[in-house]
Amino acid sequence: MKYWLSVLFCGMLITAHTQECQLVVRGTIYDEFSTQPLDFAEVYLQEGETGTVSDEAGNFVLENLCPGDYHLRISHVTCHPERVFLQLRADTVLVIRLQHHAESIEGVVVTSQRQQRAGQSQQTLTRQELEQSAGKSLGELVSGIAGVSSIKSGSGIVKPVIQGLTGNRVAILNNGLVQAGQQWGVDHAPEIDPFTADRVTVLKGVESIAYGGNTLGGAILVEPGNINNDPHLHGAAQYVLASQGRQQTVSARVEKTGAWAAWRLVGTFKEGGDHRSPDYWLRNTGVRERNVAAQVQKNFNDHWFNTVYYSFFHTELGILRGAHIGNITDLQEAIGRPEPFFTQSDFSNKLEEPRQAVTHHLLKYNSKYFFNASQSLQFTYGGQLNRRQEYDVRRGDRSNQAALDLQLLAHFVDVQYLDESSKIRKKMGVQFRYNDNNNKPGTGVLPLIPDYNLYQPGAYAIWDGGSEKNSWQLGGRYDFTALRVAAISRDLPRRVERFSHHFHQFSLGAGVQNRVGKSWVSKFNVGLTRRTPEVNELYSAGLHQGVSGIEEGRSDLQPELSFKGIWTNVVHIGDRFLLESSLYYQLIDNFIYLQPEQEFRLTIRGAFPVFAYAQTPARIAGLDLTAKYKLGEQLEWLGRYALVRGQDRGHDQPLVYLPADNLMMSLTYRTPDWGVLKSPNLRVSGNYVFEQTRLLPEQDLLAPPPAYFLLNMSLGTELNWKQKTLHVSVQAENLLNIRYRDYLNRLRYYADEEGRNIRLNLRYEF
Amino acid sequence: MSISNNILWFTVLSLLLLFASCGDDDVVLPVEEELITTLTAVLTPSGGGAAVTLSFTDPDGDGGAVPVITGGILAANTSYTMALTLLNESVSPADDITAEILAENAAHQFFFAASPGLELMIAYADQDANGDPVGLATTVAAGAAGTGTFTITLRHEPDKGAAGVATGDLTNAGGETDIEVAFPVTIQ
Repeated sequence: MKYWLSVLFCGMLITAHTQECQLVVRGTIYDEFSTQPLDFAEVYLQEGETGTVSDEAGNFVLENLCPGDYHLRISHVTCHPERVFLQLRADTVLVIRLQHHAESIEGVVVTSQRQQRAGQSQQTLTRQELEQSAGKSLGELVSGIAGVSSIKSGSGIVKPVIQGLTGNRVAILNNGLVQAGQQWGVDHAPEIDPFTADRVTVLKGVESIAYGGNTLGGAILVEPGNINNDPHLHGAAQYVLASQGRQQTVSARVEKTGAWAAWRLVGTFKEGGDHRSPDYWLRNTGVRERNVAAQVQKNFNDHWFNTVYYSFFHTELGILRGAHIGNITDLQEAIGRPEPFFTQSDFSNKLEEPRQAVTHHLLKYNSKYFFNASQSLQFTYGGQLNRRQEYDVRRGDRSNQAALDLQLLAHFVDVQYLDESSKIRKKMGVQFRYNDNNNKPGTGVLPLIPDYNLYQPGAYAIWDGGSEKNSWQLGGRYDFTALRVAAISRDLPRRVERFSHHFHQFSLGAGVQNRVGKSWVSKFNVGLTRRTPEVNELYSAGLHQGVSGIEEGRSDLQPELSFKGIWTNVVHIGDRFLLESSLYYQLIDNFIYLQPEQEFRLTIRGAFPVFAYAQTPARIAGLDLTAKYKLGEQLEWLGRYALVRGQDRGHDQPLVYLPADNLMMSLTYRTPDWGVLKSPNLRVSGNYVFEQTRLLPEQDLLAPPPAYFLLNMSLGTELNWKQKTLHVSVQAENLLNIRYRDYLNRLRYYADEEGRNIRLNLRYEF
Repeated sequence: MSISNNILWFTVLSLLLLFASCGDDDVVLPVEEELITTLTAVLTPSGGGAAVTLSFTDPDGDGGAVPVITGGILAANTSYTMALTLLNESVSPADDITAEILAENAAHQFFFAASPGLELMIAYADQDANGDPVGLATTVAAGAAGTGTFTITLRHEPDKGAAGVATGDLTNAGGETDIEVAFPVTIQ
């Protein structure tokens, strides 16, 4: 499919007789999302240093060109500029679709009518947004999407929450592979460098079936794009300096379509020290990160495409020193303090214990063979190696000895057949997943989760069809899971105890999409999913540091069964107002959660509360709203509101750790070019997070924090010369330096959130 | 037909490849060298007589078997010298954790507290490298008759310079708790 799209993108060649310097390039420019023609788009021929502007119908003409190789740069005030490489031998007609700016409401993934799947609920972060938020973690990036929030452990460790669900229930797909890390941990952030991505998509409906990953709450797709079909070396270098943590991020990306193959290299380097709340330094909250990714694409002929992708991710993260506690007395003492224990009066970029060091390797081979224009077979192999080491403050010289040291080796194979030859499009495949999790010896601590091997064969099929007006999608998936666990006994003498489990899991989904009127699209999506309990839910045993509780798995847990319906409406009123609402309702049977036990467990560090995994019927319902209003050619208003309600129906009490309601609004002002400064823009946004009031006092040690309001601002422009572009922007977050705490930050017991952050963002494209 | 054949072959081959690479894993039992399983407090009357021993033992660490706590009876209006011993009895032979604390005495401090109704006055009788108290050796003065709990706390990396910490007040100590054991004690 990718090949056909790139043809579409790079233009279609229509031959005419050749004459010396008499060639004509004609083209039409469309908005990728609305498919409306774009007027006043600038078309600049970099070699010829000439340009033109598209007319009302999106058309443009460049005349009197000599045969040769050209780079066309197409830009529009509301769109991400695109560069098109053109080998001009004859008169040429181009069809160009520009990716819309930030806050495009509907998915703007790839330009194909067929890809606008029925009933699916998905939202995408475009390259523009990714570039603007460069230097942030994946979790922070996606929390800008309606219906997505994040659960944090301090400011460095951010996990996405989709429509109220997180952790094991959300799959994160790194370049199409389910990220194989220790995803169960609330303080385990996804090991992905957002710089490798060209788009990040959040899927909430049927489409996530093809990816698997034992999920109930949707999937996040982090995908690098295709390498541009351009024989010259192009790339970008980015530098971000943030006042918080005095953090510096450098990233570079180069790509080229060579004679033998197309390749791309991405490297990122991030380093920062202690962050600061408005009143004090947050000791030991620095980060060091190094990432490399390489992609090679080789087309053996026009129907066989191969891609090899390798990425290496390494991060070291400090965790607030004052959050390291020994028992519940320490926790209670920490709660009442004006500033955390161990707070220092000066900035430091030292990383000390408690800290985490995580390394992730990912190797992917993808081969796609087209039998004809509409039938293809695709083979994918994915191998991942994840090593997670967590260091605690320990006695003796043991602080340099990891207290948790897990290595997960994962293999994955997928064979997928795609048939678009008839009116009903079919996609089907078989998969096999193998995970081998080992506790590396030498920690001197009984492991929190045991060694295990997981074998998981599966198969899936998705059908979709219909017309422009009404379309439908249907999908199903089945996986068999065999789990072999080798745990260590809790009593003496220590011995290895082996357990074996078999589970059946399935997923069924259906969606319909109806174009009610010219400006109203309504979608409905339902899904029935059975999720296998993960190994931490079955076998975890030990102390959970941050919350000072003992967590105990239960080996007799049953799979969760979820039914979810999503109803999405997209309405345009005139060409100025756009509203998207998404209403969802989810019933989960055997919902797995941590139940506080009546008895405390006595240890030498005192009595600890015990939380045992238990199951209950639950319900989650919510609403995500996004609205956009064009106040004029230059001014745009955006509003977003998210609301989630969750209930433990078994005990008739609210579910814990659900995001509070939140409301975001922004105003963006874009002026016409200002001398050499191209597309200058100013954006002011405010984010109001309500207090989480739906919680019983006995459900938490500390009541949820009060509501807060954050003001953010950004100012950006770009400079062009020859074939190069420099983007400059300055962004300020929490501009008013507000003192606040967030309910979904697990370190809220210990410290305030970070204060004002000013970021300078430079991006140089060549 | 050829398509489905291809699918089949791909699958069979890849499954074989994967199963071939799966070895049985060998689980290594960790050596829990840092664990404290046993705390013993020996109170010897200053004027001579039989010593009183308070002890907490939990040989298998957190979880597993329930710990055993042994309290004691002190004589009213008597002063004692108290010596603490810490052991890791999950390994054989047992590790001497007391020595480990002594070696890092500046990073550790014991704190003592008696519940209301239990008249106990505790004074530090040892010092770390910086002249601050550690608490492995103390003097305990038992007052009038009464019953209650006597709590021994060990803090790792406390702020020994904070207000009141040197005289045994936990309030500003910080650090994290390595030991917190409450012994039932009677003074008669």
